[in-house]
Amino acid sequence: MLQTKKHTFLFILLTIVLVVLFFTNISLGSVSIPVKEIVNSFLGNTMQKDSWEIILWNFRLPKAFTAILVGMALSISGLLMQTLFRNPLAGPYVLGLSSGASLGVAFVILGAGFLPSFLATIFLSSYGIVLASALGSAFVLIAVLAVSQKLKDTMAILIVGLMFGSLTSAIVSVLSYFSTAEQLQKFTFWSLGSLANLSWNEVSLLFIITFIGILLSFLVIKPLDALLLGEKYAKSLGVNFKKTRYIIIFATSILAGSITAFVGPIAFIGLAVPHIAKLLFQTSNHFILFWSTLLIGAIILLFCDIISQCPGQDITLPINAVTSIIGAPIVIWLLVRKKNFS
Amino acid sequence: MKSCKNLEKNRQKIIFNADWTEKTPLGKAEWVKFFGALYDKNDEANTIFSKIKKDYNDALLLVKNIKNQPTILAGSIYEDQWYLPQGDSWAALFLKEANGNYLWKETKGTGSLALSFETVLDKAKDADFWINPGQFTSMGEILKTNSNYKYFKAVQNKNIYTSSSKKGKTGGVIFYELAPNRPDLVLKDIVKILHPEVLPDYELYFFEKLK
Repeated sequence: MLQTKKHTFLFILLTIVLVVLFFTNISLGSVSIPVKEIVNSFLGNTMQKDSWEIILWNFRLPKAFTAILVGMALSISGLLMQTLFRNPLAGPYVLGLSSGASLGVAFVILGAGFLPSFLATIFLSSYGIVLASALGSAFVLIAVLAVSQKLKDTMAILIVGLMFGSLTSAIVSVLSYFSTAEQLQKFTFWSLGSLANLSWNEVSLLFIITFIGILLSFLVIKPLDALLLGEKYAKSLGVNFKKTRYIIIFATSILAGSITAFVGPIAFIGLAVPHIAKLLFQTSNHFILFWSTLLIGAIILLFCDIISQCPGQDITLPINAVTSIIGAPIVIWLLVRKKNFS
Repeated sequence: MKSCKNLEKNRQKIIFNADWTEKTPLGKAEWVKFFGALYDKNDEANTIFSKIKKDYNDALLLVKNIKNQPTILAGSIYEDQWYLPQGDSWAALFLKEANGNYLWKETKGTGSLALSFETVLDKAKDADFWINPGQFTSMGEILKTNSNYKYFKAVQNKNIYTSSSKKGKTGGVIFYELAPNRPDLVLKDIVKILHPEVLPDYELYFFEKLK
């Protein structure tokens, strides 16, 4: 009973924090727009300056929604992976999805010269990077799924994912070895991630995909609790293990894969957020962890985005650097604490 | 320097060419005299430079008394950052000489600025011209890359000019090949863009309006 009260309190608190951060996020940026004007605009009045209206409605709002979607999607995939592999250091990219995506993008940016011309025209168009990244993740996903059909041991899938990661990063190294400085810069910038370039259409598309992925994850909440006790125990409880594993891998792949396609590989969020949720809520009940991870993921990424926008300054910082700067100390702290961490 | 020593050892003569360190447009062009001296064509080089200098100064006179200074935006977004020439750069200098109001003319330095989209939109939304929008060579390409570009007045009025679309016979961009040597043509191009009334019969040499 006491536990439930505490959880209710935390959920209310986190929801309030999320709402406050959302409004803080859209009111802060390089250009300072008075809060009064923002409230005014939400009430349907016109703002003092045209440019403010564009910045608020077509730049900051899509960016804030992107941050929320990305935070939720990556954190949930992290939670799924950590439970599936029963490994606190697993994250959304542990299956090699981001390596697959970066391989796709590397082929387009660094290896454009090797592509046949009809493919080059497709991939060098505005959606080329998104497409290449999605295809790259899909390729790794299919490979991992095919291998996982053959493997009984879940840990083996983890290792296969890591192997795919090494393999693709080696190919990326070879490609970058033969690239110009300009191509390398472009590729590096892609790998730093960006929440800011999505139009409303792209945000809607991302919303639909994320929604499907999160819905799939919701379906496996119960089996996840059983999985914590081990595969055999889960099977004895009547969990269809193969099916559950399949859904988990599939949900993670479309979540992490589509996020990487649209905003680039975003580090650490997926690894760190499930731990924060577990520490805060002191539970291993996946129903509670599911919702708390969603909330905390959105909160952390909104917060990182505020920092990356450097309010009041003319410059911005790459989002991926900010998430790592915040995420890395959390992971180190977790490792140090690991002795009382089950 | 090591490779220079090697060349000297093998009795090769070395001359350093420092034309790229020149700060002013005419200064860069004057290096034609250096090459004239090398090829024993001093008189020809002098004539060429005098003509360039005269044309350049004539173009300056054309715009000297024009009161209306059109506002100018430059550069483009590259992964979240909008890169623009700094106030003392070669590009910014031409815009100033042609009596234009480059919106970042006050900034110091000869390199480039990296600004957020918000900052640029806030300052340059109503800019009259957009000169050299990075790598873009067509309107469609601009809007496809980032739909937020459509909010700029220069985009709505299609007042965008680039110097990176005209290519020479061998496929190189003419501007990069010739502009440092022909500041008169660069200046006249920009004068024609900003103040077309003073050069009614002049055809753009390096620049092109985006379609």
